[in-house]
Amino acid sequence: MCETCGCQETVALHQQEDSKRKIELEEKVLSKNDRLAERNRGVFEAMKVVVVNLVSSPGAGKTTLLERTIRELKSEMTIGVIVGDQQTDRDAKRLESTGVKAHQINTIDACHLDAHMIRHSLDQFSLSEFNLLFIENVGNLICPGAFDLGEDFRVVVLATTEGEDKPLKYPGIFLDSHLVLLNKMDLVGVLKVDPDQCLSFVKRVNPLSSALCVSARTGEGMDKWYDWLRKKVMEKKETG
Amino acid sequence: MHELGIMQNIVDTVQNYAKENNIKEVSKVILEIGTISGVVPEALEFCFDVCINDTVLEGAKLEIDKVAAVGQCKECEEKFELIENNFSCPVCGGDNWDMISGRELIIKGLEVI
Ligand SMILES: Nc1nc2c(ncn2[C@@H]2O[C@H](COP(=O)(O)OP(=O)(O)O)[C@@H](O)[C@H]2O)c(=O)[nH]1
Ligand SMILES: [Mg+2]
Ligand SMILES: [Zn+2]
Repeated sequence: MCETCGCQETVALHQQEDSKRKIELEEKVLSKNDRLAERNRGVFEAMKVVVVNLVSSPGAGKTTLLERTIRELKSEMTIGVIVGDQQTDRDAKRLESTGVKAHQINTIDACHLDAHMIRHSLDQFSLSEFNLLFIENVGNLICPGAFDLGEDFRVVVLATTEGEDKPLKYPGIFLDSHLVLLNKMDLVGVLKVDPDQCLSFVKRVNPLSSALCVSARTGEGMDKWYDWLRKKVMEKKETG
Repeated sequence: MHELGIMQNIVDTVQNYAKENNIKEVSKVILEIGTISGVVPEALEFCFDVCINDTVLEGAKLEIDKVAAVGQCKECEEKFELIENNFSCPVCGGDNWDMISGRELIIKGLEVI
């Protein structure tokens, strides 16, 4: 157990006075994660690094998208990656081959990253030197939704191969997302899926979310994503 | 599935609380789980039995109050179940709503002996 992050911290709970047998707690199950996420957020703020948490189903294209993004942007800014993977370090190796620092978190049996894992993995980076830190979450559309990592932005990668109605079936992950990247647009013709319908479902679940259509394979539409990232990095530099 | 980790979290929290307050036995744990919290109540129930062995919760019951995902329409103020209505207001068809409930993941309370 670690001391810096307060793993052992006991939770302040209060007992209802008038009853000895029934006790009201009203304690958020993930309050410890939320507290650690707030601390991470503070660190990211102080170090002026933009942190993007990428979530998706397995195979939607997170690693491919990051590989291309890093190759395009690494001459303009310093980029780091934290990768959550249940078993292998294949993704971390792929990302490191783009020439940036990638740190692998082996989540083993966990299906999501949590704020505590991120906190420890930050030790691997001297954050003040970075402009942009990507977190590739574990491939899963349900579990990562409940765990705030302290990131600035949550980006959902959705593949056209998944059909149009994922946002309605897995609303939890979309509710807090800032941007949805509809990936594998190169396959739309073959699949006969309707990207507009998919994006309208995204908007319905979360009207505040932006959405972009991209192909990590062909590069189609990726310029808008790069511009989005550039803007966020710029804005963070200018604050304070 | 992350219910095992979540349940371990719950059991730890209750154990800490019991220790601090000198409680020897917990007979019931009451949770509030929203339908879009990302947690499956049935899986939680299964994990509860695994996690409470050899703790002050041994033999305790688990009560899960499910909370529906409800939004309130910003146009006409209708409150409606979000999932059944595909996230748009059944009265005016509006897509703009505020989330009222559905994401709860709360230890509501305990019954102790
Ligand atoms: N056709 C097509 N395939 C893609 C695209 N992006 C990723 N893929 C493929 O989808 C598979 C899974 O991609 P990967 O990046 O490993 O997904 P991850 O599990 O989300 O990290 C790989 O075979 C990729 O080559 C795309 O835009 N178009
Ligand atoms: Mg990957
Ligand atoms: Zn309405």
